[in-house]
Amino acid sequence: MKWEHLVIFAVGKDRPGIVAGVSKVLYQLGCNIEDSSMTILKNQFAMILIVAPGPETEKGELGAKLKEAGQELGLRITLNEVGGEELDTSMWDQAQRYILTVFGADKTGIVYKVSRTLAERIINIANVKTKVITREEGNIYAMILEIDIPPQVDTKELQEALENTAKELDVDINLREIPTARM
Amino acid sequence: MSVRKIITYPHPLLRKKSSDVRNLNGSIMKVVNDLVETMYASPHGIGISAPQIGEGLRIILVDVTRNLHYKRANHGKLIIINPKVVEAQGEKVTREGCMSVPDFVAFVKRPRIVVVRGWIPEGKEVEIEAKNLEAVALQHEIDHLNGVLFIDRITSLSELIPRNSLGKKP
Repeated sequence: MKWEHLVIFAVGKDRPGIVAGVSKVLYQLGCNIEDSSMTILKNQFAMILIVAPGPETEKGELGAKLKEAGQELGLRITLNEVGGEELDTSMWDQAQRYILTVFGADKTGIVYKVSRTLAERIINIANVKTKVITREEGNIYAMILEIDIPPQVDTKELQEALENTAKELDVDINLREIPTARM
Repeated sequence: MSVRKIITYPHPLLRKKSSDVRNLNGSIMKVVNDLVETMYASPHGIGISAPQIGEGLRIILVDVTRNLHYKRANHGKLIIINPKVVEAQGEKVTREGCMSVPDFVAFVKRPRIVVVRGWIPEGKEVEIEAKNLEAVALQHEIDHLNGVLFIDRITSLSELIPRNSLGKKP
C-alpha cells in the first residue's frame, strides 16, 4: 500500500546526535524530509517532521528502524500517516499577519485565555512560543504569537477584547501588524 | 515598452554583479521603461531592479506609494541609475518579500535611514535621503545589483516564513 506523507514526532532528553540519528534512518530508507520543526524546550529536544516516503520505503521497516534508533537515542517516536490533501486556505488568502506579545507575572491560564480570545473570532495562530523567565522577584511569563487575521475581523473590537483579557490576567498585551514589503 | 518576465530563484543571473551604466542611450531607456511597466503590472510591488528582468545593469526603481498601508513621507517614483549607498544609519526590521523569491518572506534587519547617490534618467546626478520603508526598498534593490538576495540577510531561523503557510497574500 502506498501512502502520501507521514508525520513523525520524536521527543527526548537533548543530546548531540538526535537529528543525525533520526535523519539517517529516513535517508537510508529513501524518505524525503519536507517540512520540519525542531526545537529544544528546557532539556527536551522535540522534532516534528513531514516526510514523503520513497517508492521503495516499507512502512513496517521504517517503523522498526525508527523505534530502534529511538531506543538508542532515548527518544519517544510516533509515526502517523497524513493525507496529501491540501488545506483550503482561501479564507486566509486575504488575512493580514500580526504579532501578538504577552508579558506578565507567571500564572496559569495565560495561554488559554489569550488563545480563546483569538479562537472566538476565528483567528488562526500560525506560530507561538512561550517561555518562563525565572527571577528572584517572581517568574515572568512571555508569549509571542504570530496570528493571521482575516479581513472580516473587526480589529478594533479585537484590540478591546485583548485589552480586557490583559486586564483580567494582569499582563501586558501588544498587538501590531507585520507589514510585508514586496520588492 | 513591455511587461517583462521576472526571473526567479535559483536563476544564476540573480547572483551576478550588474554592470555600471555608461551612457543613457535608447537601449538603457528601454530597460528603464520596461522596469516601470513590469513593476506597475505586479499588484503590490514597491521595488524592482534590472537584473530581475534579466538585464545585468545597475538600474533600480522604487515606489513605496504602491504599498496602500504606507503613509509616511517618501519620494514617490524613484528611478536611479548606478545607485550607491553613501550613508546609512539606524536599524529597522522589515518583513521582506521579493518577486524573484516568490515563496518566502522573512524578517530582515537593515539601516533605517540611507543616503543614495546616483543618476536619474534625465541625466542629472541626485542624492536622496530615504527613511523607513523607502530606505529598505532602496537597499533591497541595490542588493540585487550586487547579486545579493534578502535570504542572504536572514539572521535567525524563526525569521523565515514560507509565504504559502497563510495563502498567497502577505
